Parts: sequence; structure tokens; C-alpha cells
Amino acid sequence: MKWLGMTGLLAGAMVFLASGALTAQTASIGEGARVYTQNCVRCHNVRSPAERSSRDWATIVLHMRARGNLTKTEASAVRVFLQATNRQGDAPSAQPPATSGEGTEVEAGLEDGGEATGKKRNGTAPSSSPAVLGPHSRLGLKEPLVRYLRILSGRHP
Amino acid sequence: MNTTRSLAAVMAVSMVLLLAPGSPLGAQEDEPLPTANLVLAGYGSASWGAQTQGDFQNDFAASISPVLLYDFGSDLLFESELEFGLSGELTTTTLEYAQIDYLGFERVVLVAGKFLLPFGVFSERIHPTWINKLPNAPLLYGHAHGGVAEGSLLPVLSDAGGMFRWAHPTGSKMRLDLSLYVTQGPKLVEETDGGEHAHAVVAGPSLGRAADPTDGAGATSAYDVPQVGFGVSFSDNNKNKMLGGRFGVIHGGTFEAYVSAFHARYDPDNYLDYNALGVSVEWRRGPLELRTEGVVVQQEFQEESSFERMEQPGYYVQAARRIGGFEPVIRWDQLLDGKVGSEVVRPGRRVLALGLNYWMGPTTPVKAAYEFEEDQPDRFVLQWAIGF
Repeated sequence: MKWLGMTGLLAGAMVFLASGALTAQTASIGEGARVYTQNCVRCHNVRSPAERSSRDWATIVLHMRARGNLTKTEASAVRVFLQATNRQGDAPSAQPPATSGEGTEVEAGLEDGGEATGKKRNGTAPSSSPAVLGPHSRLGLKEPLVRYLRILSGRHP
Repeated sequence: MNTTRSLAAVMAVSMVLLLAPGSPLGAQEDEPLPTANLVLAGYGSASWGAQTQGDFQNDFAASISPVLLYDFGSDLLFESELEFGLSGELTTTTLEYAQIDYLGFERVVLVAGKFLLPFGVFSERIHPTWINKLPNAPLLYGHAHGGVAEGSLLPVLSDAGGMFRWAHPTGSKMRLDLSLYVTQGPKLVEETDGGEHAHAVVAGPSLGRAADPTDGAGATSAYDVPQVGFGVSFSDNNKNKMLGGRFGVIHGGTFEAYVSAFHARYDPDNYLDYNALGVSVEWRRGPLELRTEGVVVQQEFQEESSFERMEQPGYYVQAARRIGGFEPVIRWDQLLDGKVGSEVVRPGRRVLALGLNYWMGPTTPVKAAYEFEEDQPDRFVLQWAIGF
């Protein structure tokens, strides 16, 4: 009976732990900026999205998800953010779709001494929004993000 | 009893199904990655250290640690890190980790293979030379040469087994973090090689120090505490497995606190306990970062016909502040005496390190540090590291 109780307890715990899946959100760029700046700096300087190709970031984010213990939704958001702000761009097949239709513009600001707010401008994505976020995307992300990435990493402006 | 076991088996199968990909509680739909992908990352460093008092002694060292990442889509990743180091007449090769991660669940990651143990923070996340803010590791975690703590309380902990990780965001900034693992555990190590590492000023991939806490133990104590190693081989030397875990509370990028513990037995006869308990706290605000960790290790050993237990605590406190491209760092390290009862069997150590880093880029620090250690010559260490 004790064994059954223990197993039941374990089963309940596992279901609870996994049930976060029910509240998973669609990854967004603003959320990705927030997760990126809050979690990467826990260990090291933030790295420029331009360092890697979009496909490589997808692999590296999986690595960092395991190391930093992020949720799948958070990791997806970081990947979308990195790929959206990546200057190199890739073959379209390696790119994620843009966003789910809202929050297509991001104002990346700083608060609390270095955390990105990743504030979204609510609105419907214009029909001309690129389905693929490449180096010439019109999201208005690149300059402010590069600025605060430089600030966070301590590099010269 | 049969009914009980049957019910338990049904529940176990149910759990597996609930966590399985495609289950509403398990894997989430995500954009599939089009092809498998291999990425080369890692870090390397070149170092020079000199003993600045007494007989002048200086050493060069270099290391490279390639990290290979290979994903099979968005749910499965193989990752590994090899470390090649050059120190004096020795070239060291270490498999830091080689693990498969299953990432299909929303909040859970399953890991199998040889992985860095989530005990404290430095060992798992901070030890790469481009991340560590000083050229040397803190006394709590010397660098692994075959997983043996040389001159430190613990090595960088890496071991083979399985791990369950759980992340639970509780708001936009707060999150809970849990890791549980089962691994081979430490094993008894013969005191053969490694002495040269411990006595070099620059001792390999992460720099060793001149003093070895086992030095003089024989002179001050009749006890001979055996050396243990982690991940020193893929064969277990006993039936016991190490059980461990870490639980943490994280607030944004500004605060995190963890409690870690593991329990293992290390002798072939499966009698002798090796336990550790650790606490880690980090706080950062803008360019300022404060970090502290404390660990207590308990090790049983056999002394003729009796069993004895040694207990040794240690801690470090580190502060760093970015000022443009520069970053002054200060760290106070202390290992208290390892004692059996009131008898000292491993003398403690105290080290004050003052460092100044220049960040050539976000992943390229040039680090200079001056270390003062009680009853040891002062040391100066210069290190150029790069993460890629």
C-alpha cells in the first residue's frame, strides 16, 4: 500500500510538472527579447544575434534551453527573437514564420538596470509583413536591439 | 501485493503516456526544424602564471574546449564538450559531457549520458574560461583532471547517468528551477598521477594553485582520507548510484538562489558515504554582480577497524563591476579545515584574488589576477580567453 501511495504521489507530481504545457503561449519576439536578456546574463554577456546563422541559433537555443532550464515556449521565443534580429539571414526554409499576427513591432528598452522590457505595440500585422524575418525585415527591431545589446555587453557604443 | 504492483504499473504507463509527445500534457506543437544541424561552439584560453615570491617559477598553459551540438529537429539534441589542455609536460584530455537531451515537453527536459551536474552554479554554468571572471576557479571547485579534486573541495562535477529538469515560470520574472539526477557517483581513486598539476602555478585548462590541501595532512593527522573522483570511468565500482538535486528560485536577471545536495557511496564494498550540500546566491544590478557559494562535504572512510567521517566546509564570495570595457573583480575564497571530530585531517586554505578584466568583445576577456594565499607565495596570472 505504501508503494502504491508513493507511486500515486509520483504520478501526481509528474502530471503537475508536465501540465505547464496547457498554458504554453505562442512564441513572440517581444517575449523572446525579455527572456533573452533576463536569462542569458545570469551566466555570461549577451551575444550578438549576428554571430550565427538562423539555423545555428535554432540549435544553440536548444543547448541553452537544457543548460538554463527554460520552458519550450521561452526557448522558442528566444529563437524567434534571435532569428528576427540576425543580420545574416538564411535560406527561407530555415527561418521561422513571423509572428502570430499581433505584436509585430517591438520596442526594446531597458529597465531595472539592464533588463529589456520588450514592450509590444499591439496591432494587427500589416498585410505586407514579411512571412520570413530576414536581415531586411521592417520590424524596426535591429537598431534599438543592437544598441542595448552593446550596452549590456559593455561594448563601446 | 500483485494488485498493488499492477496498479502501480498502470499508473507508471499512464505517466509515460501523459508525458509522451502528442499528449496534451506533453510535447507542444512547434515549427519543425527543416533539417538536422551540426554546430561547433566552445571556448579556448592561453594563460601565463608566475609565483612572485621566493623562487621565481612561471608556467604557460593553453586549452581548447570544442562543443559539438547536433539537433535532430526541435525536440532532440546531442551535445558534447571535449577539453584539450596543455600544461608543462602533460597534455590533458577530458570528456566534460556527452549527453542527449529530449526537449519535447513544455517544462521538462530529460537528459541522458555524461553531463555537468547541477550542483551549485559554478560547476555547471560558470567554469568555462570566457565566463569565469577570474583565471582560476574558486577553491570549492578545482578544475577536473579526470574528475578528481586536486587542491580543491570538489572537481568540476561531471558524471554519467540520467537527469530530469523542470522549469516553472510563476510570472514575468519569477521562476522555479528543479533538477534531479541519478549518476554512477564518485569512486575511489588511487593516488598516482596528478601531483604535477597540483604543484604547478599554471596547471592546465583552468589554472591550478601551488598548494594542495592534502599536503601536510599526514604530518598533522594519523588519518588517511582517500581521494575520490567523479566521472573517472564509465564503469561503476559498486552497486550504489549517486542521487542528487538542485532547487532554485530566480527573479528575472537580477537574483537567483539555489540549494543543492547529493548522496553517494564511493567504495567497492558499498559502505562509505560521500555527501555534499551546497547553497548558491547571485545578485546583479546593471554592471554590478555579486556571487557566493557555500558547500559542505562529508566523506566516510575506514580507519583500521572503525569508520570515520570527515567534514569539510568551504565558500567563496565574489564581486565584479563593469566599467566600460574594464571589469575589476575581487574574490575571497576559504576552505575551512577538514576535520574528523576535532582533529584536522585536511588543512584549510584562504585565498584573496584581485582581478582586472578587459573585454575585447562580449566573449573575449583578457584577465589579470593577483592572488594572495596564506602561507604560500603570491601569484600573478594572466589569461586570454575566447568563447565561440
